[in-house]
Amino acid sequence: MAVAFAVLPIYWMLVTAVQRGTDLYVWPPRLLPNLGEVGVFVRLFSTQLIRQWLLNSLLVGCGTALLAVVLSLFAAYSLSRFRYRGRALFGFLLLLTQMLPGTVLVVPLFIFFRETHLLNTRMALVLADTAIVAPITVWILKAFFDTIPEEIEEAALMDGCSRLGVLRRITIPLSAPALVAAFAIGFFEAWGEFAFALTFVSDQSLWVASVGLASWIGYLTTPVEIMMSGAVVFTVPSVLFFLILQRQLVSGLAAGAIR
Amino acid sequence: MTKPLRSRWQAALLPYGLIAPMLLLVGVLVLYPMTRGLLVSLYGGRDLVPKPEDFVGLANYGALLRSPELANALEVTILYTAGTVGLALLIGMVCALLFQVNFPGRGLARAILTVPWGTPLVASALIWYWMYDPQYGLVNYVLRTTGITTANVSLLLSPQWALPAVVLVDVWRIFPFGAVVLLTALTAVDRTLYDSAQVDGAGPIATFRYVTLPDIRPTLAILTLLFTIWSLKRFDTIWIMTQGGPSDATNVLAVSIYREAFRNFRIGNAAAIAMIGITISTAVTLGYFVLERRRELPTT
Repeated sequence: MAVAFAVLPIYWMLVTAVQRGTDLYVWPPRLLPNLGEVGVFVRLFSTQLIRQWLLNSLLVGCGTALLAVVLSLFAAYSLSRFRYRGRALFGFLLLLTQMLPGTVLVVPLFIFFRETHLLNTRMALVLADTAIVAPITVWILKAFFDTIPEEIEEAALMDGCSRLGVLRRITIPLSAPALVAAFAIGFFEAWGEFAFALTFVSDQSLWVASVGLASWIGYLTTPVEIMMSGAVVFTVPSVLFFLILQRQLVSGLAAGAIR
Repeated sequence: MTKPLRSRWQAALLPYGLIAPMLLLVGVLVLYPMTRGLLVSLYGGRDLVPKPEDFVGLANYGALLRSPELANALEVTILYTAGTVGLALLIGMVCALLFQVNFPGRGLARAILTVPWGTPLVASALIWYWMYDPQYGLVNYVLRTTGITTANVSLLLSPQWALPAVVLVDVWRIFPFGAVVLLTALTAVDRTLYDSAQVDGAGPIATFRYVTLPDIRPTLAILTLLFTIWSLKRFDTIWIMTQGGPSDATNVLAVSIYREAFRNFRIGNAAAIAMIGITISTAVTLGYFVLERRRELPTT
């Protein structure tokens, strides 16, 4: 039952995407597909805007992921390797961001981006999304750094390597899997983000896919098979990522929210 | 071994230097706007940057506390959160218990469970919007064939169905996460405890109540906290499907903040609601930690 509940909407999305409109607007609904239109994806991509939206999502996603990984890398290394005054406070400040409802930040951030002339730019989304995802990526990287034995680093320090040299030559190569995970998490946080993208960017050609797809609900003219095929294209990468990284995500989210 | 003074200074400052860029980002994009938001909540008027003469002190809060809109938003938020968290935990728990048994296709079923959780919120909203379609929707078909309703219902436009409808979307999205986390906790329960419970003649319900539940209680508590925080934050699906309507039936706090700010352009009011929202989220988290501390159980 539970599996059916989980899978039915997904099945319905896929089935709807590949049927002809005449087979969709019928009562009772066809439970088994009449595979009339697998060519729907061609039609979907022939509309200029969706390509632009997906490209924008890709850009914002990569920007967010890159910024989040670079900043978290240093922050996590600092939290993991050093004991210093203010360390607990810094950790707490990062955690605070995690708890806040996104819409709480929308209004003040809107004011802030307006003043800094970043409204209607993809950069605004990269910055805002990074601030939201940073606590999770920091905790994931910190948890990973904690598992790297300090003896390895100390040996290198003895050999005259500087701290930053150690970070670059030893810690970063050893943490490659965690860095990839953090990158992916940053990417998909931005990929799925909606409230910021809806508010900070008004220019249709600068919309990310989440806002573009959601806008179709308002227009009754968008055929439902196009809507669903858009949803499929938007969903598949994200689902693949969750399948691959399931374990890390579970522990990372739990860690980010609790510590 | 004495190092030169300069490099000792550098060593002491290094951890701060490493964390500084991140703190700068969080400071500029979270803490500073939050402070601004707090200030804006003390002003009336409709300007994004309020004029000094619009200063109203705590009047926004006073008016809100007396307003039926806020009372409604709080009520809807509580119903939405309680419904989502309760159902997701229940279904997740049942799922996890079932997954303990080895059955053919278990691995595949587990993988399938991840799919809703990995589906982006916007895509979930689109899928369910189509499934809730009053004319051709699958949900109406299920409701009618099971005899729950006799005619098609516009679920998202009906004041009594809209809230359960949006709750179901969120339950669908998060229960798989609960199932996976609980399954991990269940596999960690000491097997020998089950054996001794069986020897003592405990039935399956008693075994669950006295052996399983105490063991996975910390995990359940954490899940409850996570789900609650997520539900309090949830904006995307509700905004896309109902925009808080019909007649405010799905107007949770997160949505009402957005509506006040970007539909009604009452910025000060929106900021004040946001502050109330922050207070609630913080209270929930603090409450969790106080409860956990009191139980004096290790949290993992």
